[in-house]
Amino acid sequence: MTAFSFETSSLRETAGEAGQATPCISRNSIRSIPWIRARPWLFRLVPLAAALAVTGCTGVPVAQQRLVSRPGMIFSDAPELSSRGVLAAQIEPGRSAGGAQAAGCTACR
Amino acid sequence: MKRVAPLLLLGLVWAHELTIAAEPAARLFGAAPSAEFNAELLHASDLTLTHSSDTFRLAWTKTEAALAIGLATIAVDYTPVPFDFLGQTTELKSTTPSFQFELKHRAGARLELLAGAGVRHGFDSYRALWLDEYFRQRFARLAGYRRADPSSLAVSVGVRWEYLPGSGFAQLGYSRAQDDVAPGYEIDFNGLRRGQETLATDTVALTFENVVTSRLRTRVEVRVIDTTGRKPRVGAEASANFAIAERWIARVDFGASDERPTFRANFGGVELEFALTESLAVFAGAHAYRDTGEIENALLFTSAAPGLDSRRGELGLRHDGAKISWRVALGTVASDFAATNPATDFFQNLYRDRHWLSLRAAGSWRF
Repeated sequence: MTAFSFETSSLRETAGEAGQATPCISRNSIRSIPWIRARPWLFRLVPLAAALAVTGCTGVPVAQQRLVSRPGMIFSDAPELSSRGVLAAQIEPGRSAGGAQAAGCTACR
Repeated sequence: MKRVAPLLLLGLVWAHELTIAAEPAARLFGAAPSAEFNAELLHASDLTLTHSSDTFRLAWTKTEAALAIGLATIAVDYTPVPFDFLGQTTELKSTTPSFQFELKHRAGARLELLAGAGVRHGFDSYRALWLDEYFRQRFARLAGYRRADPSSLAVSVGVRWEYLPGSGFAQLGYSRAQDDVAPGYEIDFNGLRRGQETLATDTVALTFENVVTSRLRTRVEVRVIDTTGRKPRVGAEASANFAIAERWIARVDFGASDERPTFRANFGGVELEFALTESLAVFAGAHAYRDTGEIENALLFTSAAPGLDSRRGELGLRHDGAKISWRVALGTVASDFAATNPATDFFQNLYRDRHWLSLRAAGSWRF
C-alpha cells in the first residue's frame, strides 16, 4: 500500500475539488459499488475521471482549438501519433490492457 | 557518409511529399485509401523482441475498414540456473503472425459504432516462451506432456459518442479474447498435471476525452478485465496534453491497476515536445513503472514474477505531412526485478534485471 501513498495523497485534493464541481455525481453512490469499496485508492480516481468528463461540459469552441488540434496534442490510434508500443506490454505487464496469462498458470493466477 | 545518409533520407521524403501533395487524392472502391506501418525492437543481452505490422485502411463517407497484418519474433538465450540439473542452455526462436480487422461506422452526427476481430498464432511474450522451454526440458519425457501450440482469437465492439462537438467524447468498449496458452505443469504423487489451456478474457473499458481549455486536452480511461480463474483486474489511466507555448507541448500520464488479492501496479510519465518546423518535432520522455509482482498460490514452486520496478527514457523525431507522417524513437529501459525466493529460484534468469534498448519507427501514408 505504501507504493500508492504518493498517488492517494495527490488525488485527495483533486477529489475534493471534483466533489464541489460535479454535484450531479453522488460520492456515496460511487462508494457503494463493491469493487470500488474494496479499493480506496480507486475511489479517489473515479471522481477524477468524472471531474474530467464533466469539465468538458463547458466546451471549447472549435475556433479556439487550434493548439489542441495539433498532431502532438491528439490522442490517436495512428502509430505515428501514439507513444506506446506493442512490445511495452511485455516489460510493463500491469500497464497493458491485460489478457490471458501465458505459461505457468497452474502455479499462479 | 553515415551522418549524411539520414539527412538524405529526410530530404527525399520531403521532396517526395512536395511532389505528391499537389496530386488529387486517390480513390479505391470509392474510398480514400491509406496505409500505416509500425516496427519495434527491444533488445537486451539475452533477449531480442521485434514486432512489425502493416495496416491498410479504406475510408468511405460514413464507414472505415482496416486490415492489419502483424509479425512478432522472440529470440531468447535460454540459460537455466546452475542448480537446475535437468536444464540445458539453448537458443529459442519464435515467430508469431497476427491478423486484425476493424470497422468504424458513423451512425449519426455524433455517434460512431466500432467493431473488430483478430487472430494470433504463436507465443505472445518472451516469458511464455521461456517457461514453455523450462517445462519441456523438465517434463517432455513424462506421460501427460504435450507440446504447446498457443493461439488467440478476439472480438470487440464499442460505441463512441461525441457529446460535445469537437470537445467531449465518451467511448464504451467491450472485448472478448480466447487464448489457447502454453500451460504450466505440476507434478506430484498422482503424476503430471497440465494447467488450464484455454483462458477467456472479457474487458470493458470506458474512456472520456475532453478539450478542457484551448490549451489542454485530457483523456481518462477506466477498465475492468476478467480472465478465467482470476479475480477481475481494475485499472485506470489519466493522460493530459498541454500546449505550453506555440512550439512546446507537455504530455503527462499516470495510472494504476489492481487485482485482488495482492497485485498492484502504478505508472506514470512525462514527455516534452518542441516543434522545430511546421512539420517536424523533437520529443523526449521519461516514464516509470512499478508493480508488486504476480499473484501466486503455489505451496512449493511457482513461476509467478516477483515485483518489478522499471524506468524508461526516450528521444525521438516526428514528421507530420499532408500525405506522409512518421515517427522514430530511440530509448532505454532499466528493469529491476525484486529478488526471487526459494519458490521462484529456478526462474532467476527469467526474472533477472535487464537493460533494454528500444527502437520504434511508425508512419502513415495517405495515397
